[in-house]
Amino acid sequence: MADPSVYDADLVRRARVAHTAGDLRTAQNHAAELWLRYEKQARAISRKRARGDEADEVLGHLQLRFIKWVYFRQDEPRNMIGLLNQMASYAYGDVQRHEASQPVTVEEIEDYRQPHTDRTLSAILDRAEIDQLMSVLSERERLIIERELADVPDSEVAAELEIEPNNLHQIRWRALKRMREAADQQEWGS
Amino acid sequence: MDEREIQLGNLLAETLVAFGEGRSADVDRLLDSAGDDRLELVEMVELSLTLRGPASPSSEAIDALAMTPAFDARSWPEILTEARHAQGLKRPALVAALAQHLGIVSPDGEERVRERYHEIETGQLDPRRISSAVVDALGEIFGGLRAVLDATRLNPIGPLSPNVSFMRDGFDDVDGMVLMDMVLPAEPTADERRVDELFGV
Repeated sequence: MADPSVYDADLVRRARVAHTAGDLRTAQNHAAELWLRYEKQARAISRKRARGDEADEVLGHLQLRFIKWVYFRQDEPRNMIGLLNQMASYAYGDVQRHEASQPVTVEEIEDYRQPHTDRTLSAILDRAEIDQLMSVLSERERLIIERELADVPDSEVAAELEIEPNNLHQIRWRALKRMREAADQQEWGS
Repeated sequence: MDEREIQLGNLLAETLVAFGEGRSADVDRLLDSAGDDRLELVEMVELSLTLRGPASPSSEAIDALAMTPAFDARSWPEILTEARHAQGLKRPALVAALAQHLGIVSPDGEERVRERYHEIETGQLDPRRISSAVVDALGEIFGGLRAVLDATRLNPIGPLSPNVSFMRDGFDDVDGMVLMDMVLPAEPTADERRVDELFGV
């Protein structure tokens, strides 16, 4: 499988080239593809900042910032999840300003070069690093995570391991928690 | 078994399914039901999605999204000029309609609307500062352009329009400019001040 970060960087580069050349339709298509690749993650990230309707507003501002970043910035994407997390904190500020009837602002949109300081796991870059993280898991935990990544239904995995679905969910929860703790300890992506 | 871990594990499984099926209301309900552990549950959802990696959207989905206002890459001067030309509206007619929408009826107020609108269309006014009343009015005049104008407020306005190039070329009559500088500007009228406020000046 191609490295997602290489594919992302190429999409961003092509969007910017098209935008500069005035081929806005192509630029818009590349930006839309990049957003759709990470839309689910962006929805989750916006829910770390706010709840319900307000989270949807954060998501809207996050999307706008993301698109402006694709069109108008020069820096290359190194880590889309880290970038989205950083933008989400500014998007939350956008929502606060909007609610206070203050003018929209793009001061912060100008600089996403600072290292992302949220949870280090957001800095996972590629498959090799994920494999390394999975090394902290037991054989059974790893199998459960691998089956999940392969979209195998929980009922099938539970049957394969001869456990109850409740038990499966608990083991998966623990496994993810251990992966996150391991990432925090090892300062992944720093 | 740790009952709380089972509950959270089940919530995570349900939330991921709801995420996958695009059921936002259910996602929010499930996350909130985690109570004090809500943030941890969101982080686990994020981790699961991160591990899965980026999606591979269909070309139909990409095409549809690319045409939505948020992805419009044009600047306000481009959008407004194109919209005006598409409707066959001359600038004076547009200004009259805009003044009417804003409730500006005096000649001095309308003249100020003309000046400020000219500044928007030629890239001299920052769209970010313009009031929502003006955005609403323009959106109505141009028939459903409100969402586009809102989504493109942060787009850079680019180089100044050739219509204002005289400002960069300068005047031949330097003495005249000095005299102009010495004339104190008249105090703005109430309507002029109101228009300036609406346009964020």
